[in-house]
Amino acid sequence: MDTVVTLGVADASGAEANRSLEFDALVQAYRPRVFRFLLASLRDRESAENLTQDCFLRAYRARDQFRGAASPATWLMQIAINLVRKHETSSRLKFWRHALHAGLYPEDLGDWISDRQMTAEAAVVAKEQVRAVWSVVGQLSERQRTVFLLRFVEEMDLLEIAAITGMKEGTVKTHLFRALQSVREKLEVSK
Amino acid sequence: MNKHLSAPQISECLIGDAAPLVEQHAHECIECRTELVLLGDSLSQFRGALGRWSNRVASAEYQVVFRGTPARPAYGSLRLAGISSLAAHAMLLAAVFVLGTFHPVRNLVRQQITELEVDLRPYLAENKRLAGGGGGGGARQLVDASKGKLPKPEPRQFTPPRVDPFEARLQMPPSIIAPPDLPNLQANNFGDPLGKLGIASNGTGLGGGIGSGAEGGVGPGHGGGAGPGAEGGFGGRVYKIGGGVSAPRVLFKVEPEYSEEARKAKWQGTVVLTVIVDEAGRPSHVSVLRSLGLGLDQKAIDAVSQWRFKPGLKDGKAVPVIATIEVNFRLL
Repeated sequence: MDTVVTLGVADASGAEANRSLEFDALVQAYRPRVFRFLLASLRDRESAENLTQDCFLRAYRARDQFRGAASPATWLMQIAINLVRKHETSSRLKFWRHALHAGLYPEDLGDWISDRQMTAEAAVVAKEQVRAVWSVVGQLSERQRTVFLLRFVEEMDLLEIAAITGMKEGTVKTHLFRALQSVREKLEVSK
Repeated sequence: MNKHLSAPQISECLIGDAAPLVEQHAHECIECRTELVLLGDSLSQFRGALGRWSNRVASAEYQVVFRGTPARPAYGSLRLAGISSLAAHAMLLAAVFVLGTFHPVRNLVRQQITELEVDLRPYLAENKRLAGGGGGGGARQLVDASKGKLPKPEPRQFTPPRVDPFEARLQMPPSIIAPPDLPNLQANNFGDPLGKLGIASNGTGLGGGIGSGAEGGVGPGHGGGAGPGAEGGFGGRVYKIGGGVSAPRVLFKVEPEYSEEARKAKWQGTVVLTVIVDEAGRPSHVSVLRSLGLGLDQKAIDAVSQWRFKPGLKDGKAVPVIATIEVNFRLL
């Protein structure tokens, strides 16, 4: 589901204007994806919003270094993953704050399923499953979670994930395999 | 391949990393395909829910879009700006401190501050109980109380003083009920400041404390204070003339004699004495303020000690008053 970015060249009012327009288009195209990944990783709306901003700010500052060797999605996801890692190491001390937030506002992902074309029973089952997957994802390690989200939410292929995370393809597979095993175990239990 | 797929193989299929044979089986075998589809369904439900959630959250909020070029700081490096700002503030602070050391500034500040200071002393409630009064005590001993210092004045008395302190593991320092500006003397042991040097004694009084009085104080009075009087405070307090205290008047006077030496030396002048005139009008504690010498001081003291006064009054009541008396010695 790679989005094709149309790099709009509105008028020839200068190279700088063009580039900013290009970047604007990039933000429009990729912001939801980056935000979704960060939200799923951090489970905290404020942090996710902040890190999304950070991600695009970093990308903007480093836009001269982006040669188009990888796809913009890969590039932005790389930045996002680095930000998540940094955030997690820095927020380890804020454990209690997080625990408090989690206790106060538990995000029930089950409320967000699309139950339009479902029977009530199917909707309940789907809700349960989504909740099960969500809780397992929360318990995964940072690497397993990242890989899982990239594969099954962002639907990237293994080579892309390897490029983004900087891991070897074999390592990516191992992490993904373990993550999937835990998810399946949980699903079996919930059934 | 007839066997169904194992759990790891199904995972591999989902990951997209299965061997060709396994893939083929997944296509052909209905059971395995069902399992794959079910699992895939769960995951896609999850994906959909996550997508909807994030869309809702993101669209509910503002969206910041980069437009144009962000302004590059036109004034050089950020670090330099920080350092110069710090330096400027430090200099400003230093200037304030340096200015504060100058005398005109200090005087100005002092003036301003003394103007702000309000003297509240006239409005303070006077603690009448502590104003006069006195106290006394004793331990029914045969000997009069011995000389020593007064214990610390406190608003409340927990422990009456004793001449001979006894050992206690947790000591409560003895105290008397008296104003804090109590005259006292330097000594190692407690006692009556007006007592006699000699055998250590708590005095002939009763009820603890030191002296000939009662109820835990020091001196001949009653109560927890010191000196004559009752109910705490410092008895025998002496007033000065003025401010509601009238001067004592002389009722009976004895003319001082000239000493032999002074008469021979044709010595004349004035001796200034201070006298405490007590409530009964008797002089006590006569002391020389300005001496004349040649035995005239002693003659003056002898004479004044025999005088009788109408005591000084405060609020219509006789109070001890300290007065100055000039005794003139003239050779006629």
